[in-house]
Amino acid sequence: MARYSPSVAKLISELGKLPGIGHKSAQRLAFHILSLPSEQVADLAGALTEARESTRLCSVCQNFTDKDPCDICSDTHRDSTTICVVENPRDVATMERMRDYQGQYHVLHGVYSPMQNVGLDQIKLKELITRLQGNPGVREVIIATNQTAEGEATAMYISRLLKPSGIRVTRIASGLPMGSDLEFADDVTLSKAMRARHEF
Amino acid sequence: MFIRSIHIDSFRNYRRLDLDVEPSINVFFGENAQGKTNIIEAIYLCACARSHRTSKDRELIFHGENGYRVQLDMLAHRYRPLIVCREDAPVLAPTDPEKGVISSVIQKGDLPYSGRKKDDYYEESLAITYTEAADGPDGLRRARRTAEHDHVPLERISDFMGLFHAVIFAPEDLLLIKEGPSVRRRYMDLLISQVRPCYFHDLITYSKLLAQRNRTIKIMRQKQSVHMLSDLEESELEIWDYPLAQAASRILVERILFSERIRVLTREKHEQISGGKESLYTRYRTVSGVLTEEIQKDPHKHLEEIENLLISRWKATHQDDYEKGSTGLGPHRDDLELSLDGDGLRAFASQGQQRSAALALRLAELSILREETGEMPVLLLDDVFSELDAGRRRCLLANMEDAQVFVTCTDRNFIERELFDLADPAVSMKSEITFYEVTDGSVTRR
Ligand SMILES: [Zn+2]
Repeated sequence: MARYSPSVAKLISELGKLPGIGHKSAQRLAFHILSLPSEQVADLAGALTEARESTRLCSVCQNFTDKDPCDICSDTHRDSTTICVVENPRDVATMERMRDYQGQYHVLHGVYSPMQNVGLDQIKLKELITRLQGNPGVREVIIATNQTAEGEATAMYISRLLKPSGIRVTRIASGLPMGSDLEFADDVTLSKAMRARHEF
Repeated sequence: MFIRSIHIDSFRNYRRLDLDVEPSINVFFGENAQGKTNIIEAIYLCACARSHRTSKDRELIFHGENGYRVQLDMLAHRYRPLIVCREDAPVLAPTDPEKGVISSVIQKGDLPYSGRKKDDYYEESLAITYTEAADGPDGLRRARRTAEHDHVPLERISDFMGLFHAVIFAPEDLLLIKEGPSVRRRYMDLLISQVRPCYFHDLITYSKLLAQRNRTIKIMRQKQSVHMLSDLEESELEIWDYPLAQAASRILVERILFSERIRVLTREKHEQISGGKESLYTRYRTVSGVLTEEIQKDPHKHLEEIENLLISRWKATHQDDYEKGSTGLGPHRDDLELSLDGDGLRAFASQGQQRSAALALRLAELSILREETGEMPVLLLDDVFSELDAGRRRCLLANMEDAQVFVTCTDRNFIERELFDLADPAVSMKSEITFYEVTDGSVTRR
C-alpha cells in the first residue's frame, strides 16, 4: 500500500469495507471523492453522519426510521392483523413498491447463520416473539426471508416456534416469473414451482 | 452432442490452446507430464463443473496467472429425443422444434446420433471461468467461478449441469474400489447431478446446512466444557435438523433409485468383463438406517416418511454429535457398497478383480447417461489401455459404440494396434482415428 499516502489508503480501505465494493471500485470511488470540490465532500460526509445519527430502529418492526414508531407502524389504515417477516430493511422497500400489501412488517436484520457468526440473538427474533405476545390481534405471519439455505432454515424455525400460538404462519411462494415461458425456466425453479403447486 | 473445438486459457500447463477435434476417436500421445491428461481434465470440467483430479481450483491455474478459462464449442443435435427407453424398446421420437410435436416412433438403432448429418446439428458453447484476485487492502483472496452457456453467464452452476455429458476412464478409477465411501458417494453424486440438476441443487443446500449444523456444535463446545445438552441447545440443533431432512430425503430418494440401476448395470457389465465367472453386487447403505425394504421399493412415495425418520434420528443423536463434534448420520456418510461373490472388494479382491469392478462401475455410468439423454456421452480414456488386460480392453471398446472419444497414451503404435485389432472387425476404426502429439503444453495434429 506504499503507493498511496496514509490518508488516501485509509479512505480506500474504508470504502472497500462496503458491501459489493472491491478494491478496484474502492480506488475509483476514492479518487472521485478526492476530485470533488471540498464543499461537496463536506455535504457527503455530513449526509453520512446525519443519516447514521438520526436513524434508529423502530421499536415495533425494527426497520430503520427517523421517528419511533415508524410511518408504517403508525399508519392506522394498515392491517395490523398481518405481519410480514423480512430479512432486511431493503426488503421492506421492495415489498412496498408493489403497493399491494397492506399489512405490517418485521425486519430480522439477517438470518441465523453460525458460519457467518450470526447467532439467534443477533437477529430480531426475540423482538418478533415479544411483539406477538403483546398483540393478540395478529392472525397471520407471512415469512418472506430469502430462498437461501439459511433463509429457508430460519423460516422453518419461526414457523415451528409460532405453531403453538395458533397464529397462521405462511411462507411466500417461489416459482416461475410472470409472463415467462415454461420452456425457459431452469430446472431448479421449475421443480420448486411444481412442489409448491396449489389447487384451483 | 460432440465437441468441435477446445479453447483453453491459463489452464494447468497450457497458456493458450485452440484445438479443432474430430467427432470420432482423438488420440493424444506424448511423453509423460506433457499435458495430455490436462486436456481430458478440461473437457471433464465442462461436464461436471469440477475437475476429476482435484477439488481445488487454484491447482488448475497456469503458473503465475490468477485464473483460467475452458471453453468447448460443440455441435448439438437439433432433434434431441424427449424420452428414451431401455435398450430394445422402441423410443419416442424427438420433438420437432418447428412443429413442436412428437413426430414418430423410432427404433433404438435410429437414434439421432448414429447418423451424423451436419444439417441436423446446431452450435452450442460451454465455458467455465475461474478467477482469483488478491483483492482489497486486507489481501483477502476473492475467488469467482462462472459457468457460461452460449456465452451467457449462468446464475447458478446447477444450471450448467446436464448440458453436456462425459464419462471418464482413468487409472484413478481403482480408487473407487480401494478407498473409503467418500469416493463412491462422489461417483454417485457426479453421475446423478449430470442428469438431475435439482439433485445437484439439493446437494449444495445439504452441504451448506450441514456446515451450519457442525458450526453450531463447535460453538457450543467452545462455550463450555462437554456437558449434557440443555433443552435450549437441543432446540438450536433442531433448527438445522428440519431443513437438512428436507434436502437429505430428496437426495436419498434419487440415490436409492440410481443405485438400483447401478446394481443391475454393474452386474451385467461385470459379467461381460469376467466372462460370467464372478458376480459383482452393489448396494446403497445408509448409516442413518432409515431405509426399510418397503421404502427402497418405491422411495418417491415415502419421501415424507424418510424426512420424518431422518428428523427423529438426528434428534436422537444430538448428544452424540455434540460429543464427537460433528454430525454423524446422513447422506454425507453413506456408501455404495460393493461385493464380489459375497466378499468385500476392498480387502479381499486381487488388483485385477478390482480393476474389473471399477470398469463395470464406469460402464454402468455410461449406460445410465446414454439412457437418460438418448445420446452417447463423450468418452475420456486417460491412459487406461496400458492398465487393462486384453479382455477388459475389448469390453471397453465394445461399449464405445459410435461415441466421440478422447484417448491419451504414451505409445502411439500400441494404441493404433489396440484400436485396430481389438475392435469389432466389421467396423474399421482405424480410418476414424486422429492423432495429436502433445509436447510441453502444445498440441500438434499428426
Ligand atoms: Zn415500525
